[in-house]
Parts: sequence; C-alpha cells; structure tokens
Amino acid sequence: MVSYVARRLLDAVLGVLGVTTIAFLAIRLSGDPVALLVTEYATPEDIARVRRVLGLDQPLWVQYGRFLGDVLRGDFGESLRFIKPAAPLVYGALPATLTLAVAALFIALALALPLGLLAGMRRGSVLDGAAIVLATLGQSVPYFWLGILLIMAFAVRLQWLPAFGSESWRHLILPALTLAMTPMARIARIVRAGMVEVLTQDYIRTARAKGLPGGAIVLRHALPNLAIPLVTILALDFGTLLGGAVVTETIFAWPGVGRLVVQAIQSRDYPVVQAAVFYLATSVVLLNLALDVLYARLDPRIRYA
Amino acid sequence: MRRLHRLVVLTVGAVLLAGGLAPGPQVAAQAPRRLVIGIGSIPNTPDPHLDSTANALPAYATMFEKLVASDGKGGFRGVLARSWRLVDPTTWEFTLQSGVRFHNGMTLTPEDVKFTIERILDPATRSPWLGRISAIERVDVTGPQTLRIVTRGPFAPLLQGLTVVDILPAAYFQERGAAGFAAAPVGTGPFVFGEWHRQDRMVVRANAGYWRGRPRLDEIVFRAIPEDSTRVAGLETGELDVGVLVPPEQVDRLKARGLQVGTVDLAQGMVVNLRSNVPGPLQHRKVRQALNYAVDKEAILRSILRGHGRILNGQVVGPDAFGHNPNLAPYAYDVARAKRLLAEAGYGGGFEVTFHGTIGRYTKDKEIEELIIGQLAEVGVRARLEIVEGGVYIQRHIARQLGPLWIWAWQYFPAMDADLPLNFFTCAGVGNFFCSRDFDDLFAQTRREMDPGRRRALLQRLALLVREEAPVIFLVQTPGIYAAQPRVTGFTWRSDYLMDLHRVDLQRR
Repeated sequence: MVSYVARRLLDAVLGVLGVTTIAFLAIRLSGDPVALLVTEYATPEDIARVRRVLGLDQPLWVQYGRFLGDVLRGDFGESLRFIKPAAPLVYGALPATLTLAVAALFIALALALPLGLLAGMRRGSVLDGAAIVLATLGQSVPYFWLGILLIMAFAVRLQWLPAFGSESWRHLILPALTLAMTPMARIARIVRAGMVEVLTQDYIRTARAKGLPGGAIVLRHALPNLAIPLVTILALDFGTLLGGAVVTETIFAWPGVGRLVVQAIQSRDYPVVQAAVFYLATSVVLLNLALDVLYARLDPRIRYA
Repeated sequence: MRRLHRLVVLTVGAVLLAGGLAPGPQVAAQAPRRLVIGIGSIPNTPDPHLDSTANALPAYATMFEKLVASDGKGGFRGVLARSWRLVDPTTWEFTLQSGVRFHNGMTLTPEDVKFTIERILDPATRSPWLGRISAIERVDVTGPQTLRIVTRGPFAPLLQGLTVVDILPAAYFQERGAAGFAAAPVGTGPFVFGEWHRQDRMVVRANAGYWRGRPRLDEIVFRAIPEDSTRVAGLETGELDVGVLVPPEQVDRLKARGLQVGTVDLAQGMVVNLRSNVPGPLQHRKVRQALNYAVDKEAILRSILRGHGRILNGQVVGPDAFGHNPNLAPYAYDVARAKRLLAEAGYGGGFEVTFHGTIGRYTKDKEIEELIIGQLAEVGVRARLEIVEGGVYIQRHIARQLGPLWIWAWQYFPAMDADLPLNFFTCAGVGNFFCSRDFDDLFAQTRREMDPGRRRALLQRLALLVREEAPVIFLVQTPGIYAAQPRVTGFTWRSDYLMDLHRVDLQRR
C-alpha cells in the first residue's frame, strides 16, 4: 500500500509538471502580454523596454528554466496586471470557488440521490420517465442560460434572493444551484442505472427472501454497492465544476478563481495563469489519488500490489 | 397546507414590516446615503497609476484629481492647477490651487506633482499611462505654488496627456512604498478610500474636508458585474442604484419599470480600419471611398443600436473633441456610387477580403460586423468574417496582423482631443495601416503649434484630409446607456467615461 501511494505520488508530480509545462507553452504561443500592458501611445521602444523588464526578451528555454526554478521555491512571479505575487492572488480567490463548488456538489447530491434511487426502484414508472427527462435537461442546459433564468425568476420576479454578489449564504444559493445542475443530472443517471443493475443481483433476492423490508434492502445492500461509481463521478465532476465555475462566476459576479483565470488569459497574465493551472492541476491530481486509496476502503476486493 | 403556508408567510411578513417601520424616520435619517453603481469591472488595484482601463476611470476619479481636466467642449479647466501658461514652446508653467489638502491632511505642493510625473515616467513603475506623457523631459519646482514642465521639443498636446495623471502625495507615498500606498491610497478627491475587494467591489466614503465642498453622498460602492444581463437584473431588483453599459434592447424594459434611462455618445469612434499601406485593392482611395458609400450607417444606428449613438460625420471623433470639424458630412449610403467608384478603380467585379471582428468587445459589435459584411456583398466585396479573441486582438492590431478590414473603436477620452486617435494614422504610428506624406506633415505641424486656435484649425484640416483619404469606414460614436433608480438625482455619465459623482444625491423615500 505504501509503495503504491509513493508510486502514485510520483505519477502525480509528473502529471502536474506536464500540465504546467503545457500551460507555460500554450499561454506564450497564444499571445504577447506586453501589447496589452502598454497604452496605444506606446512606441516600439517602450514595448521593447517593458519586455526586457519582464524578462520576456529571453529565449523560451531560458524562461522555462527560470520558471521551473521559481516554482520549486513556490514562486510564480508577479502578476503583470495586478503587479502583485501571482500565487497569493490565486489561493486568495480559491476559497470563493471552493465554497461554490462544494455547495453545488452538495445540492447535486441532495437532489440526485433520492431522484436516482426512486427512479431505479420504480423502473418504467412515470417518476422514472420524469427523472430521465430532468437528467437529460440538466446535462444539456448551458450554465449561462440557466443562471440568467434563475436570476430572472428568483431575484427579479419573486425577489427572494439577491441577483449577484457573494456577501452572505443567500448570495450562494442561485450560483450553487446553477452549477449543481450538470452534476445533479449525471449523478441521478448513475444512481438510477446502478440501482437497476443492483436490484437484479442474487444477494438482493436473498435479502428479499429473508423478508427484509424494501427500505432496508436499499440502504444496507443496494446503496453500498453504488458507492464506487458514485465516488468516482463525484471526484471527476469536481474538475468539471471548477470549469463550470468560470461561467457561473461571471454571471453572478462571484469573485472566484474562474473569473481571475479568464481575465488573466485575456490579458496574457502568464504568472497568474501558470499559478492557477498549477494549483488546479495539483488539486485534481491529489483528489484522484485520494479516490484510488478510498476505493480499497469501499471495496475490500480491490488490493494494491 | 397551502393556506397554512400563506398564513405563515403573511404573519412573518407582518412582523418584519412592523419591526422595520416601528423606529420610523429617525433610523432613516441616520442611514448613510449610499449609492451602489454596477459597472463591468473595478480597478485592478487602488493605485491609480497602474490601471488604464475605461471602467477604472470613474472609480479613481472619486479619490484622485489631476492638474487639468477636459471641459467637455474641447477645452480644459483647471482642477489642481489654478492656471497655466506657456513660457516658451517647450516650457509650461503651472500654478497650483492653494489650500488643497490630501486625505491624510497634508497640503498639496509642487513637489507632489513632480514626484507623480516622475513616477509615471519611470519604466520600473510599469504605468500604462507612460506613453501619454513621455514627451516630458523634466519637472522643475519654481516656487511654493508653481512648477515648470519641460518637454523634449514643442509638444502641443501636453495638457491632453496630463488629463490622465492623478496627483499623489510624495512624502506619504515614499514613506509607505508602492504596496503600502495601494493598501491605503490617499488623494485629494471628494471621496476617501474605504475598501477594495479584487474583482468584486470598491467602496469610497465622503471626504468631509474636500476643498470644493463635501459631496452629498456618504458612500459609493462600485460593484464589478461583468455580465450585462446581471447588471440589468440588479437594476430591476433595486440592488443597484445605477448601472452603466445597459444593452440597447433592455432600455424599454427598464423604462417600463420606472427607472431613469440616459444615453451618452461615448468618446470612441467606431470604424472599420482599412489596411492601405500594403499591395491590394485598398491602396486605391476610390476603393476605400466606395466601401464608405456601401455601408448604411443609418441602419446600424436604427436597427442594431435602436437609435442610441451618433453617426460619425466623416471623422474619427465627435463634436465633444478638440479638433472636431463641424463642416464635414458623413459618407451617404449610395450603392450605385460605390459600384461606380469600384469600377473606376478597376474592381468592378469586386474582390475577396478578410474582415477581422470581435464579440463583446464593443457594444453590439458582432451584429454590426455581420450587417457590414452583408452590405459589402451588395457591391461585390466578399468579406470573410473571422472573429478574434479579445486578448489577441490588440496584440495583432499592433503587430499589423489584422485585416485588411477590421473593426475598431478609436478612444479619445479622457483627453478629448483628436490628436489621440490621429497619432495612429501617421506612417510611424503604432500598428500603422495608412501612410500619407501630406498627413504626416500636417500632423507634425499640429504637434508643434502651441496656439490653441491655430492648432484647432490644423486638426480640422487634418480631419478633412482623413475624410477624403478614407483610411477607415466611418461608422458611429458608440452609445453609453445608463440607468438609475428614480430616487437618484444629478447622475449623468459623461462621454469621457467620468460621472461627476460629488454632485449626485439620493432623495429620501
């Protein structure tokens, strides 16, 4: 087990290194930040001077070497736009995004679990049909459209909730609901499919034969077997949630990492993009590692050699 | 069950209402007069020398002041400068207002102005405003209230450059350092720094000791709301008192809700730039003129901008700019004439060309681009629209990799002077796409001409030349639509993007 984790940790380091290298190259290939830093009055000499100050006149491999050295010391450089160290900018904005993502995941689970379970147990019923329609809708509705629709309904029409901002838990509801829709649909489908499959298993028939009530069968025998696909999808969806947060944060004026990164990409703020990619990649890789370890706990049949 | 629900809601509502009303007017009288403004973004930093984006300007203007500002009619008014005069063609003398105090109580001195200008000129500061005043060679303090600015050669648009320079307190800044200053910035403006939360909001509070009198509001909150629809929703729910850059199609909806809606023609001339300094059909003046006749500006204004905005009359600035030529007329929409001119230039069969466009960079840009493409097709010019991502757009503009046709808006705020956009029409202009010896000679004259009246005449001659040469397809001055709650009084948005917020008040409800 220990050697397995060690090996996976090494994989994780290589994974993060690969992703940050791709980000390093991609952001440089896609545009020059200096043009966006200076006003339109700047002369070519001004531009050259700024480029020299930022070290962007060096060959790419020199820049990359310096970048790697700095990263090892935990230094991602200074944001070109905010003129402040990039790493604190990113982890300063992380809590807002994590709050949103965790709330969304919570809402998704709270809605999807009962929906999927009931639909799976009453396969072919009206409820099952409704759940399938809802799941399809939830996965196909764009965040953008849903967000605006929720604002129109709950902020403008009903005046129950604020339209934007991040000051209180009431501000969290609409963006979290928006972000929850896609994972909710996916989880509901997985749970329903899992239920349908599990309910045909021999041990369920045995449980029924023992005379166990339906609720106990679901809770004690069916549900634990859904844990692995469920945990997998949750971990995968967490990455998707961070992506969806970009749009949701923009609509609801939520000051998180998503908006920070989008603006950093638009202004070719290399250090912020690199720091954000590093932190996000690290969190996704670590989450996956934790997931693999968790599998062994959830399913005693899984052994790590 | 439903009845029970309603009962609970009613009861709770009644209790809340009673609780809210009971203390009555005393509470209302003590409530701060707070104005919440929804805008696309807030400054990247409270340090006014480091962010030149348009949305940052009104927020900075609450805390900081310049030596001079545009008077909105093509001239200048003194702000921190009481007066100024030209000593010789390269030396300007400024006399400061007396008794102006920074928010920390220190008195404004010429040393503060000298420090401020030198800070922006220092490349290590990385101020985006550097280019606007890089003609300054040095600043000399000449008396307790006077200073002289010396330029490298005669530089007529010096005052225009100074309209972006927020004066900072030298001693305070040097004591705190750049980071310390950004954490607790100090200026001379009508409001003092309150809070700044990145990408979220900036709060300023009334400066009771403001040298031109205390503002009427107690507090202003700038909320960064990037999405237009959310800003409109915030106006509808009452979470925002003021919202700017309202999409034209939302105007009726907000008016129906009783909001005040206003429009200003922003100081930016929207055009299609035509790359004429490389081989191709656009080298011919007749072809460029033909494209101007082929585009129906009226249709853009009427059907896309819904009547908001203003058609450019054959020049890149509007009547709010110094150097605007009131005698020029827009190119008429005349398809027959466009075809004739194309035929005369040898392009009777039309031609194919790339048109670079944007989405969301300017008001309704994509719709305008598509309309133009359709109209150019009518005269045989087959333009292929390629949308370019915003971050790359400016860079490719400067690197001369856009076009031959590309959408652009020439901003001339806050200087409000034709010099700013016309600077780019010279052969040596950054990202230049047009080159004419006559133009360059005349432009150089405007830069050397220190008499405002004669300089205006020269700029107007230049405008005439640009209209004839047609290096761009002239379109519109883009509209800045804003809305305010009925209780807001005195709010206007100016074409230079500023808001005069010290005059705004809130009516008691």
